[in-house]
Amino acid sequence: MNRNRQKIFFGIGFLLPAIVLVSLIALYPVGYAIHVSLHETSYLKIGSFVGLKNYFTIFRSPEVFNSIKISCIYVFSSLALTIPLSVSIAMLLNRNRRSVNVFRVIILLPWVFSQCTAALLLAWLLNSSYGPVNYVLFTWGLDKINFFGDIKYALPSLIAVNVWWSYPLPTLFFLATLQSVPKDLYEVARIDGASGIECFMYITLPFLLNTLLVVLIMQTMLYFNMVTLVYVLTGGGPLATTETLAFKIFFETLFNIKMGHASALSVLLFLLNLFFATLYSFLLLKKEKLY
Amino acid sequence: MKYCMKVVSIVLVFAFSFSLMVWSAGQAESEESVEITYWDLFEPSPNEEQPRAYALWEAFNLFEEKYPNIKVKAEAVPWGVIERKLIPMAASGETPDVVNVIRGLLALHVDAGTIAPIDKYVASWDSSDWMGGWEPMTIKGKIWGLPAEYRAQVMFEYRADFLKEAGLTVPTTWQDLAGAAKKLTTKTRRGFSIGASLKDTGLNLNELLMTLVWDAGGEIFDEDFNLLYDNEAGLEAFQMLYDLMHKYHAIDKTVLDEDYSTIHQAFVAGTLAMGTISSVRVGTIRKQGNLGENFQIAPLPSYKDGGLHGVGKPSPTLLDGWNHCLGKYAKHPEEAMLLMKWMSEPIVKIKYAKAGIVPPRYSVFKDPFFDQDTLQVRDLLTLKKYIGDYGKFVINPPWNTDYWKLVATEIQRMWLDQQTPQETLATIVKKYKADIMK
Repeated sequence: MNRNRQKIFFGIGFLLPAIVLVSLIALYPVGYAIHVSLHETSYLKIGSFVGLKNYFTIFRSPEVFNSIKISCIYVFSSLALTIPLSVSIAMLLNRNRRSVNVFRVIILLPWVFSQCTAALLLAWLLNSSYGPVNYVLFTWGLDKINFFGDIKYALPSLIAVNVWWSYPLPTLFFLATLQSVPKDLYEVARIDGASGIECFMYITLPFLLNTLLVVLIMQTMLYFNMVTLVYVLTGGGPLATTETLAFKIFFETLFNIKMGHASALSVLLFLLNLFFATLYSFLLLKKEKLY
Repeated sequence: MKYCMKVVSIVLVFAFSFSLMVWSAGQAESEESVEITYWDLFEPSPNEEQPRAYALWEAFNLFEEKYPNIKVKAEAVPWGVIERKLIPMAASGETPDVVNVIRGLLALHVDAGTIAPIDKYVASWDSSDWMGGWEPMTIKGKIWGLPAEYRAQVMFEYRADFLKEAGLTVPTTWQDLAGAAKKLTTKTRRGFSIGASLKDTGLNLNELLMTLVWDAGGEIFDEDFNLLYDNEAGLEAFQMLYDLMHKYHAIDKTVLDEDYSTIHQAFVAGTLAMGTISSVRVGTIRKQGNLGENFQIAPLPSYKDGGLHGVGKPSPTLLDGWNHCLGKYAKHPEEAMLLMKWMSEPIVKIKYAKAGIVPPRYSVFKDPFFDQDTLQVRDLLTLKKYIGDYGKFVINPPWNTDYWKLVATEIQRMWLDQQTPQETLATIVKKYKADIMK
């Protein structure tokens, strides 16, 4: 028994520095944000305790509900496009052909750009006045498209830019997993008469499940917390049709300097991230048990 | 061994004594000289290809020659970052000695406690040499800085080559402008644009709205930041904005994606004939597009039936610009004020004028530089007259970005035919009072 206790204490002892570090970096800011959200603030000064007043204010605001709605559309549309695209490209890149290495470099290029660079590049390319894309449309006799200034196109254009910028990293993750799948499983399946889809469903997908969980959690958080693309491409407009929750928090913090209000919104965003991370884990781990 | 230890001890004692001497000398030196920190958009540079940075470098060199015991430590802080950096610093009891603050955000800095009033320093100064006197820098009865420059923040700018090609003269009314815009619009070029995007928090659109309200005889805010254009003047302004798109077709919905930068680039690319942006962009647009005389400025058009100054007279423009302010927690306020006074001297302002910046003092215009007939001098004199005769300023509330965003969003809604100009004005007034005003 003493030996077991010793082992436990040793284990905790070795883990403690990491736990302390993670707590400082991750838990302390969350705790501090909750603390600030429960107080009246004036610029960066924390005033008196006001309880849930900041939360009542944000939940009474139709703009906040709009932001949550826009965030969900943005995140889940991006995921619905990015995940299948990444898996498909990973499967294509998983083939043993000479030319594949060249395509690997080309396809992974968007990952090289920072969000800001990507946003500025696409803002120029898609500009309705002097952008090359609209010029090409014009030369083909088509009408110009106001990608980021038209309420019909602004959010879809933002999602498209996001998918283009963010698909390389999940692709790499899926590619790494695919390369660990034993090839003879596919040979055996083909001998047994399995079709391509059946091979994917019963061989590839089970191997990808854990990676899919990681990618889903990672990308969901990335998309929920994304500000740069929105700030550079649309500023949340037109008519708040691209004003995500993260952008709203950014605006409240850095432009309006309403720390109490912004902290309450941050806690809300944190809870959204936590909810979806937990949901994915539950659904995908349940699915894994079935396999 | 003992001998080695003795040598080592002697060397250590010498090293320690020498360090002590050097440190003491440093202390003595620092007691005689003072270092003041100064925040600007630019790092001073001896490179004449960067005119404003060069002007700053020259100004500091001359200042340090005049005051050898004062050293200036300049820090370049981008314009969008100043507030985000300064406000947290002030919250922890620190500020630079001198900081540049844009007029539009002056009240925010006063409210956030980042800058100090300078009344006691300027009380004996003659304000008549300054355009507008001390009023543009006065908030709640105190003076909060010295103008470093003035600009017509809303200026009519146009491609003279396109107008000449179409046989058009510079429009002086919004209705004339609309007609000109239609004639100048081709498949690859728009006749006229204004920035209505939220990318710059709706700033460009708000500034234009102010000039329209003023020209209609209204005002924007009172001393307590209550909105003052909930009246005929406000309605006329919103109606004009609506008509520009829906009646005169001078603009289209592409303006919802336009801001200062895209209008600037459109002028350079030749995809825009006329627009309203800040006068400070003129030099850069000309240089980037190699446009020379083909890019010109003119006063803002007015209402056809006559605006604030009468029929045929231009609209008022928004007087704006950067200002030298004293940091609230300046370590050396007296020396900082010496620098601020120096930076406002005609000998320094003329250097900025050569960089295309409109001096805020009338006496600077007496310099022989202004006797030259060059494009740059003509622009500066045009701006001096326009700002001097038609410039109006506004003290924006500390919560200006929320307000700007509200106005821009509601005007976008109006343009998309979701509400009338009357409804737009009513919604702005209601939401401002209920949700934004502190």
